Amino acid sequence: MKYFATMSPGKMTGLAACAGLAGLIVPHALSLFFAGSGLLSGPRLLFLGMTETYVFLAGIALVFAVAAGSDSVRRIAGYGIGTGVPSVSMFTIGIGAVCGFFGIALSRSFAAGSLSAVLMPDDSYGQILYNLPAGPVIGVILSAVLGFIGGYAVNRIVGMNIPDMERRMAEVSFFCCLAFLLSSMIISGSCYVNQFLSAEIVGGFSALAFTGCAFVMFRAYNSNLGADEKPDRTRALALTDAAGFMIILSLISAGICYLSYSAYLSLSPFIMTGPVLSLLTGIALMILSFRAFCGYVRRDAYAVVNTGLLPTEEELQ
Amino acid sequence: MTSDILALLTAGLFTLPSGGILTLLAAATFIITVGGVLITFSVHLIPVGGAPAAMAQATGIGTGTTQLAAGAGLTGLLTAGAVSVVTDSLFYPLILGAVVSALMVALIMYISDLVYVYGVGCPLSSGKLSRDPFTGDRQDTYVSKGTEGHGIPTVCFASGLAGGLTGGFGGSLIYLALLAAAQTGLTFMTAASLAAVLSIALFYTNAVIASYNIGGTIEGFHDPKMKKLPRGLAASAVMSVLCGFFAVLTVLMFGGVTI
Repeated sequence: MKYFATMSPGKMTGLAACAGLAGLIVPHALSLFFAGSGLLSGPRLLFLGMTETYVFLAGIALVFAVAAGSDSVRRIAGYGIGTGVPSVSMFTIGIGAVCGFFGIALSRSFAAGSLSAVLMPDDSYGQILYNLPAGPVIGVILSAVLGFIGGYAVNRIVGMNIPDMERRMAEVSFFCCLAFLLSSMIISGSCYVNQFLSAEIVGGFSALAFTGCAFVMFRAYNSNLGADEKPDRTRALALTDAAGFMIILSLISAGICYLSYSAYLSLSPFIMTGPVLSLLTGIALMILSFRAFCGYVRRDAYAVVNTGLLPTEEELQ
Repeated sequence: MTSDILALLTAGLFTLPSGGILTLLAAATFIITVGGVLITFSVHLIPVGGAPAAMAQATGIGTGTTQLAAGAGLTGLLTAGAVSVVTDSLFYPLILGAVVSALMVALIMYISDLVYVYGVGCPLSSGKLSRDPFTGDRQDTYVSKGTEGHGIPTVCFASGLAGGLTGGFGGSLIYLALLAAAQTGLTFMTAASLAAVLSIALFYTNAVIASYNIGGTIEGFHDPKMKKLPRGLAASAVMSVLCGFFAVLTVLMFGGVTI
């Protein structure tokens, strides 16, 4: 955690982008690779539309994506935009959510579309693109493009005149879209369209993913803002926020999983593996990042004074 | 005039399902762009004071533009969603969305005024006008030294009501266009949830563009910052066309259209 918090910004952005895109693909790929081998494969092949076992990898990617996005928010808002830090990530989550949904829908189009038939005459390629969701990856890249255009509109047409704003807006909307997709993936279990529609959209949890992503993105800088703001401390707080968000998401995921499939628990004990693994990962990440954050707070504080235990009743008399 | 525009737009909504997919895409994107520009316009009308107003040092409601516009606009948008469950008419969601949004802004402004008058103890006065155009009362003599006015006087209240009406109307317009497009291939529940989330996303994007344009605080239609309005509307139109296009494409693709 300390290594990640003190990394140079460019290096971290690249690392988090790679980790985020891998987090979209790897859980599905692992699950396909281990298909049919019991515990490792997860329950997806037993009951179509279950939570993937490896969805906790998406959670780890979410934590790093949020930290990198919040670093870019810090760079925009550090110039003093006059309307509050939240507006940056509220703007970009709007773009990110549209592009995230677009990516999911594109994934469906790959499975049975004329586009994949034209590009790849062999039908199995379309199926592979659907199974390793290529649609969301395209959606994330599209959100970076739209974020760049949005940054241009805000910076040049409206006239904010903040140096490098286009690039930073592209980064924030890239990570917002990534965080939106990854958190949706933790809730609904995978990026496949039917599951996404039933668990995420009709269930109404997409509203939580929407606001939650925007809030974890801006909160770290908004609450650390001030004369003695230090980048590493802010980043450690962003990691803590994201880990807390991941815990909430995996609790919801466990709830959905239990309510929908509790009748099958006797058939396969692995139904709850995905949510429980991501819950444990979230708690572990939370502890690690909060320890790092406490270390930075102690370093930056003038003095740390321990108050001791509360006095007992006898001592008070 | 207003009823003509309304009739035109609603006729556009009614004819949506009968055309081809490309017509649907173009018409829905156009309606979303109109809605997005209306939202940006509405945010300029709402008296937002930001952090200075929270300390009673500027006229307006003491919170940021984004949160305020989103709070009022989303109330209208969700009302439009709830109304569209029980009726097939397109007028009721539009009008009720606008009215409920204005009601929400009015409540926020009224409660803020109560706090400013009885809690902080300052008179309601505008820093940008010498006389209120509605009541004719003197404003400048009641502005404390070093501040830009306090609370929400009548002129700002009226401006805020107009802003709430416009914003709620624009949000409902976006929601209905997406709903009409989504209902071509999805059940009502799925279509409504999808349209709600996507229209909230578009609402936030446009509200933030407006908030960047006014840069913190604005008093209403009489504020000199209204001169910057065309730039904000242009930026909002650019973003609404792009995001609206992809939003409509998304709901169509969820409904079974493939590319």
